[in-house]
Amino acid sequence: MRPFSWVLLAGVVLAGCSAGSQSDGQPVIFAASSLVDVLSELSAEEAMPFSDVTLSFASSASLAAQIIDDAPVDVFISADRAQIERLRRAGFSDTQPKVVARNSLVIAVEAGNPLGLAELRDLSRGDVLVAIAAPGVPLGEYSQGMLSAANIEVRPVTFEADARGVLAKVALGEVDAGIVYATDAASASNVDRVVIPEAEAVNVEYVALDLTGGSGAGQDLIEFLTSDTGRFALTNRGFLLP
Amino acid sequence: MSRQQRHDARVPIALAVLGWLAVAFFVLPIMALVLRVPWSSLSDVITDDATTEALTLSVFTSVITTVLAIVLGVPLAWLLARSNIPGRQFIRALCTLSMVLPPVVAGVALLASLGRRGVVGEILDDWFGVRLPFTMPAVVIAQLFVAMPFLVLTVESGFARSAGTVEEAARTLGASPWYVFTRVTLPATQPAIVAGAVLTWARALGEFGATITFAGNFPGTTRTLPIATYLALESDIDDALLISMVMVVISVVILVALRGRWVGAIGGMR
Amino acid sequence: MGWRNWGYEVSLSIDVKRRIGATQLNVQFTVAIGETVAIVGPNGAGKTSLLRVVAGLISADEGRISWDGMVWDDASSGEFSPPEQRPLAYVFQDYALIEHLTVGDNVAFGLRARGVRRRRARERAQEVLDVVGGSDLVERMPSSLSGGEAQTVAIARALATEPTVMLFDEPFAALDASARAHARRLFSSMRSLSMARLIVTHDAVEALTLADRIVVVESGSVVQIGTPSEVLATPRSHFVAEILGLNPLSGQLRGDELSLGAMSLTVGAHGVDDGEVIAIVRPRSVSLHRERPEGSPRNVWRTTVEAVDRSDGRVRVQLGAPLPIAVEVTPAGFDALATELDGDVWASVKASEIVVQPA
Repeated sequence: MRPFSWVLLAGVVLAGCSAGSQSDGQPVIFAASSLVDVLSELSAEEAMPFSDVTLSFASSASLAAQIIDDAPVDVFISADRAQIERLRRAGFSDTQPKVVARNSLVIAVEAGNPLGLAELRDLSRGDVLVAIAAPGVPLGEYSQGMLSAANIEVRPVTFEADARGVLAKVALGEVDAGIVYATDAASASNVDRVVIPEAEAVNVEYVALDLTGGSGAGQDLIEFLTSDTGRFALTNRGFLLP
Repeated sequence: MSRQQRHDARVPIALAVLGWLAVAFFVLPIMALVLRVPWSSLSDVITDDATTEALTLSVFTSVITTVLAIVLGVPLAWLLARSNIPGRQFIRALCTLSMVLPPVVAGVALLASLGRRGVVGEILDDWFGVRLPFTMPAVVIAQLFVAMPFLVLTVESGFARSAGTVEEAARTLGASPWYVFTRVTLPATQPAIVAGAVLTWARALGEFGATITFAGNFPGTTRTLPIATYLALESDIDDALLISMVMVVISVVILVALRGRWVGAIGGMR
Repeated sequence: MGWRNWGYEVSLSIDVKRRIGATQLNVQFTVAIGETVAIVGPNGAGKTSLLRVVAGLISADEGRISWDGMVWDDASSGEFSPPEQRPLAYVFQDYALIEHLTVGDNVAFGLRARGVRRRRARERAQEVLDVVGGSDLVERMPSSLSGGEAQTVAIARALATEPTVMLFDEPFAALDASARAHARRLFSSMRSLSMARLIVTHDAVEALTLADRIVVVESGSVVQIGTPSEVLATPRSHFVAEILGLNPLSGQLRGDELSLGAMSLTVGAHGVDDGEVIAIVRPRSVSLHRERPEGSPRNVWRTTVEAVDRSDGRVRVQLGAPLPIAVEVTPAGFDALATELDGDVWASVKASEIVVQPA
């Protein structure tokens, strides 16, 4: 084999190795998608200890799957307590999970609310196209739970994979209304919110789990989120406090 | 690899090594998937109504997409390969742009044009009461948008290769341009058309991003197998793996059934 | 279709200009019904382009093409008949058989394209194949045919539509000797068909033996039109002479003295001014001798035999320095010479047999 090909091969192999370890110095946070804005903001403001944190966002379920598959991570913030339970069953049980924020559900409608939707029951109107999150994803479960509790039957035209999908359909005018997290509706620019009393019964909790085994870094990050600065940033983005 | 193969001095070792590396790269994830799949619950998932519904929808829509891609894509490929329309290069780039767009963006583009508030979609709704999003036709449109370029490019190179004196000879024998196209050009391009159709079908079968964006997700009308797989990942990874194995099996069966006879034309050889 | 002759000569009339790349095609001639015209010329002369203009595969920039008074192409009026509306057939150099059709379906293609029913077209295809000696090829696929068989099929396919004009592009170029013989027989039998035939060739023997008239094209223009004997007698260009194997020589003429560098020859009566000329020495006009010939002291020189080619009952001898020309003698004459390769011989040519023309 020519020297050239050895160089090529070596390059391939080295490139494959260097991507693995992450946890040297930079803390890594895995967080549910709905936390994108608030955590990115904290990181961008270089608020200690968030100044040099690495953030990764996805649905709570896929993040939990990655953690079980040994992804290098210091803190996991889940929008779904079931995923925390799944991790603890898988052996990640050194520390106690801590609720850092709460969220609620609202109806997202087109800007200006042209159909004049005012209450949850309006979603069952025949002239209203509705998007909700799919059963199986946390938002879908919360939405369905709320509708069943209120005994309202809604026939959505689509079951979106996540809150962003529901919001996009509302923002683009493809549906008239969708049920999303309050924080998502707050951050979207061209949708309006309809606050619904039924949502008060829904308790969406963001649960943080320290995966460093209680050694400093992870604990610091979680405490920071419950500090005044963290609480201010969270409420600013529409989150409720624990 | 068996020892009995003759020493083939003409294959440079570097090529062989990298080539086999590529083989490993493709085979490894599929093998891993096969190993990880909880086969014991296979029958549960396959007989599950939701899975069969998604499977049926996927096969049905991807076949419709392939047929439409041939009907529209072959004439487009002909225009690109044979006509003198000005700005051919530019038109080709435009017509294959959807191939490089992130599929979700392709879906947003479809909503912006054919959605309820879209440029054309609004007219469709106002004049004919037709709303495409969240319907089965929307699934086909999304698949067609991202998958048809594969057919167009393959068939275009087929047309370019089949050009020759044969068509001129046919003209001098009294055949009209249309007769020449159907009796001489099309048969000569058939391998490329089949190859392009296979690529298009495969891409359509696996389409996810544009479909969920433009057509949404509703069981029986727009929930295709890839969408079902993605959603299953959120709740039950084992189910997701099993459903994706169904897709792997279908694809392998189709590709093997074609025995490389037609697929060989994808790369441009006969 | 019947054939009308109303007292005037039915012919294909060609008078066109067409620019193709760097070549400006500019030709005028006619081909009468029943006539075979050969177009000869060097590569790049525009011969094939001429056939394509006649076939309607490309249009003329200027001028017109008509057949029996019917306009096929008229640049000034804009009239243009596409190829499928011209009663012609074109046998391509690569034969252009349709690969996915059997020989039978290839031959039937033109009839099918004109709306003849499949069954009738098949019968007709078999008939034509029988005539051209391709009866047993019907079920074969084109990819399995030899060059000669492919040409036979291509000709059958062309004949099947009963064209009134037939175009051939280099019909013998790709054939081996035995296929050539069959092709020649085919061509001579076609001479009895009432159609106009136009053959593009670079082969002098073909042109001379097949054609009633020869059109010499160089750089897109006609430089000579004439019967084979006329062209042979007075080739009007360097190319014609060379292509016909006529030993064209470039030299300086002063009076009747032709200076060729290494030697000079005396030429007969001519009306050419002194200066640069092309002289033609026809191969048969040169005599070879064992000893220096008696009599005429002029135009005799000693030379060597470089190569000998015996074919078709003739012997062509390539001479060496000082005048490397080809000569042609009878086998008997050559045997009497009893010379070896590289052996010395004496060559002589009569002054009256050397034709000169301005270069």
